[in-house]
Amino acid sequence: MIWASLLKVKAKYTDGQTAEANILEVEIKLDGLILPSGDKWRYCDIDLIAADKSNGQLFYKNGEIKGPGLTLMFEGGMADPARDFLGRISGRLTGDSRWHFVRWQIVTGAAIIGLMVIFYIFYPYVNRALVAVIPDRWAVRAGDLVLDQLYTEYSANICQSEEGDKALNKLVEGMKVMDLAYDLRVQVVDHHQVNALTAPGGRIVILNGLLQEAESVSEVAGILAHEAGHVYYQHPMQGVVNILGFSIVGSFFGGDAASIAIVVLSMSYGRDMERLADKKALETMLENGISARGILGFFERLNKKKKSNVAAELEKLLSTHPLSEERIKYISEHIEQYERGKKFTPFLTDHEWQALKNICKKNK
Amino acid sequence: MSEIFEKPASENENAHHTIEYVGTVGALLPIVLMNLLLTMITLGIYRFWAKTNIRKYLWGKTQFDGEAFEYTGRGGELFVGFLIVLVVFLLPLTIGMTYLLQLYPTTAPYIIGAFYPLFIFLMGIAVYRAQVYRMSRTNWRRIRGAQLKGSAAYGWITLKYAVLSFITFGLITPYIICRSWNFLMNNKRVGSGVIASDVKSKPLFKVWFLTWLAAIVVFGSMIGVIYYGALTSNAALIVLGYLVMFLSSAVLFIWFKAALFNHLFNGLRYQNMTFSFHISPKDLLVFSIVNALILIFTLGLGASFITQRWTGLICERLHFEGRLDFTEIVQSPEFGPNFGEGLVEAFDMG
Repeated sequence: MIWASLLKVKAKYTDGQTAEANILEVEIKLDGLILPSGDKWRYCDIDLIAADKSNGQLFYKNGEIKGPGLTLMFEGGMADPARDFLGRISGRLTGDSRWHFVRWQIVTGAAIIGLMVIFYIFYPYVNRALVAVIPDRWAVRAGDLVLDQLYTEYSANICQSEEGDKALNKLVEGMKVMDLAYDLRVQVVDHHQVNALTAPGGRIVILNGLLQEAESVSEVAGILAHEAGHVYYQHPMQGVVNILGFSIVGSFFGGDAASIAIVVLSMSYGRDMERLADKKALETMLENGISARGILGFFERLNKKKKSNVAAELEKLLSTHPLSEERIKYISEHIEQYERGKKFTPFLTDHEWQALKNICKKNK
Repeated sequence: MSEIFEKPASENENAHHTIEYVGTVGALLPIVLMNLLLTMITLGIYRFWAKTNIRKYLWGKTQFDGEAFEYTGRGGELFVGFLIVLVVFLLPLTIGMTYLLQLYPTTAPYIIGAFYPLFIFLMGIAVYRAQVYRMSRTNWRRIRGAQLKGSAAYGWITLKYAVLSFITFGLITPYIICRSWNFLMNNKRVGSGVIASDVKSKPLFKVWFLTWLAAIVVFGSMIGVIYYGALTSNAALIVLGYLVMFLSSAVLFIWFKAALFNHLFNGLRYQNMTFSFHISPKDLLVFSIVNALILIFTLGLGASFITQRWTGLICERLHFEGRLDFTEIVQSPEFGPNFGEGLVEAFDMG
């Protein structure tokens, strides 16, 4: 008898037809709940709406999602032993339905993660395939567009002088051992920044600041070879595809977390590209009889100039270029391996080098 | 079917109906972290499920008369809703615009400009349709909410008021807010129970006009400061100008916002139950500053906690008068749309 009375608890009942609630006594059996009307709710047909320490709200779904909407609510006012018992049952019950839910989540989660892993692995191939099918003249046009915009934005002047152009041409001719998809078109632009950049379609821009910073022609040749390495691998076009692809994915699926993931993704591809370009550059220099010592010195000087402050640290972390130390080590190893005891003659005569260095003088 | 034993205690008394939010930061945190992780791993696709998880939590911790609301939406519904909008709206639009810009680089911006009213119209529809979905997925005692049909009408209202706002330099803002609010609220149901609002904008105009004047004076002078700073290349002046603009925009509008919230909520009714709500400008300012700090220190990832704080604030300060007759409130015949909120996603307003 005690057993029976223990398993009768008061509950608030709603029928899903009106918002009215009535209190009734529910009998708790091992396989379900019995309502005063004699209706039986089997535990497998019950879902939990909400629960906390003292309350539990159940929903009778009877197999239908848009079902009749019967609910029972057990409130804190119940006798303690009965509440404990019901708590244990609804714990098992929520445990069951939770497990079902969790299992479903694990399966979809695994499927999504699997797809993403496949995407991460195959993305570079997809990108390369896309770049391969883009016609060369499109790449050339894209490069022109990018540079035109850049020039107008910074109101940059292209530097030209008869002898300077000749010297530059000689350097560019040297890069042809690379078997490039496009004709190289190299321009010097009057800007104080120490930098060089590559646009799609074989267009390379050297900023005057870099020419002034360089102490020998082999340094400039090294930079040019590096940029030509990007051209060889069609990195600029890959970058365009990346940016387009990521920004389309990003804007469609948006959100802060997504953009973090996208930045991380594009970063890692960036570093790989720089390493490839470095490798190609060193091969090309070797074939042209240009020592890598020049470019090594250039990087070392730049590295010393860099202040070691928080901003620099942050830049290191976020930079798409390989860390300078890493680069310096790589180039040193190359020199160690291939340039031992070799003698190099400068690629340009002194006169040609001076002409190149002063190519922007006229503009001033 | 039921044998009635007795009425629940809470419904026999003449006690006021109550609303309470019982969620906690500690319980929400694991949900937010898991959402963040899965959203990053999936490049953002999980966001639809993430949003659903948060809503399930917020709804489930909001209790009317001690009984929780229930959010029955699913992430898949939001995802499919978004895919539909992506295919029928976003993709054609992006492709069309790109082609236009390529073919007619000089005239295309004007053509796109001509689409601007259409966008405002669609934004109105997006806001309304999101409510249609959300209300249909909101249950209490398994009685469904509903937002009646009316998205096209709301689109027109939005467009009309945008034009009005433009030609009156924003002076008419209280009128626009009150009318839009009334339209949205008067079309809401919970079961057969009717939500009603008939707020007039007149009481808000005084505080709005003062706010408007102050904003013009402050922003005008700060734009002057920034302009002068730019002319004399004085970076400190420019930074100061922007800083004052940013900080004052938070403070300036507080009086109006507090008045607006009080006014809008106080004008609400559900059946014969009336709402009352009060917050002082000072309380709202402190509340907003804490929100801003949370956002800043979590780099925007704490947005869900802000939503929770808002839910908590509203529940804490909302009081009801008048007893509802629950026998009169019968189940809504509508099940709502099968998919939801795609347009809102498209405009990034979710």
